[in-house]
Amino acid sequence: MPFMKGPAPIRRTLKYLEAGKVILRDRVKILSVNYNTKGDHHHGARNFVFWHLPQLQYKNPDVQIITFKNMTPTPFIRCFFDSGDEMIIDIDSRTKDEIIDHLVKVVCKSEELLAAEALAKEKKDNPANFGFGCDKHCICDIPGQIPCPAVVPVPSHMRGKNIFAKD
Amino acid sequence: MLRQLQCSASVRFFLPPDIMNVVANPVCKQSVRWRRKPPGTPLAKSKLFRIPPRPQVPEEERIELFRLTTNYNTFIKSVREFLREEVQSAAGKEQLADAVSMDDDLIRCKEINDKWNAEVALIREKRLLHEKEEKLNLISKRLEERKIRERNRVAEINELVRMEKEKEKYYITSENIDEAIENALRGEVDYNFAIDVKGNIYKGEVAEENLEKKAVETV
Repeated sequence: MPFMKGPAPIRRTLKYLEAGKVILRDRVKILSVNYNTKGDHHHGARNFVFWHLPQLQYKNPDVQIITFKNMTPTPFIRCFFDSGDEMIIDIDSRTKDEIIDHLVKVVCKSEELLAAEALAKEKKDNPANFGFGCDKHCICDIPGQIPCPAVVPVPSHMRGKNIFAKD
Repeated sequence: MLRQLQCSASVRFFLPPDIMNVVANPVCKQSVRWRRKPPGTPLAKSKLFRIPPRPQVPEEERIELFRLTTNYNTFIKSVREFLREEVQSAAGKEQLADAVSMDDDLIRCKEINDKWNAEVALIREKRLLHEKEEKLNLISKRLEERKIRERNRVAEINELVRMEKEKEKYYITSENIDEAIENALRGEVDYNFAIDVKGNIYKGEVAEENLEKKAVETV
């Protein structure tokens, strides 16, 4: 199998993307990174964009993430909230790891919140459900249940419209 | 039940309904070359010297139209302005409410961020100071080098001038031109000389008797 194209194509693998740490809060709508392509004090910002931006976008598909290059003397990240507020994070001469850690502290969902959300999601993913968006598309898929109602109509005494009809 | 097929309204009006499913897919269709003239194509020959007729609007109608349009525009502008003010006041109230009900968590995060920004500002100041010092050093070094270069250049020029001054003795000027011409005319160059490996010149057409001895002596 040939090598993946481009510099550091590991950034495009699913395993790498899933390993992203930065899950932004719901109120963050836009994240912009300003940095230069040359300059030692922009090195950390460049690395952050190169390595962690794909992960960031993968984990936050509804957030607009945009980069502006060669427009600023010092690099910074700007987060725009839905209330119109904005937060500027100065990243001059900081390494990418420091930047990531700071982002996690400042604009990301806390671990408790993430755990609560994961729990809520599990309840939705009930394997006993069937229909649209579920693993089983119809009740006929489940062994021991009635045949497909598209083929054999359900008896009237089992139909909701008869049960709940007001006479 | 017949499906509603894509068919022009005029055709639908004139034809009986049972024939519609044939007409919807006719054997010959008129096609349109383009919706509008492609950009870059020149004007058609029939339209080159066309002068569009100036619209003649009767005076009374013109005044009436003007009155109606200005009234309409005023009305629309006033409605828009009213709505804009309403929205602004509503947005202002919303912002206030938002500011009041903002997450404490977010406030705490902003404080953390401000501390971080202050730290980074210090780092940046240090870096800029360092860069400024380096720049000043570089500038002073360059100035020094330039001074040295200038001094060397001046020395070279002085040396050249000195050499020329020395050669000045042998220059032919307007004062000694007559003498120089006489010398040149008078001057005879005797090519009758011999030269040995050491560069000693022995003048005379005929070699002297004790030349060898002489040579030995010179050696």
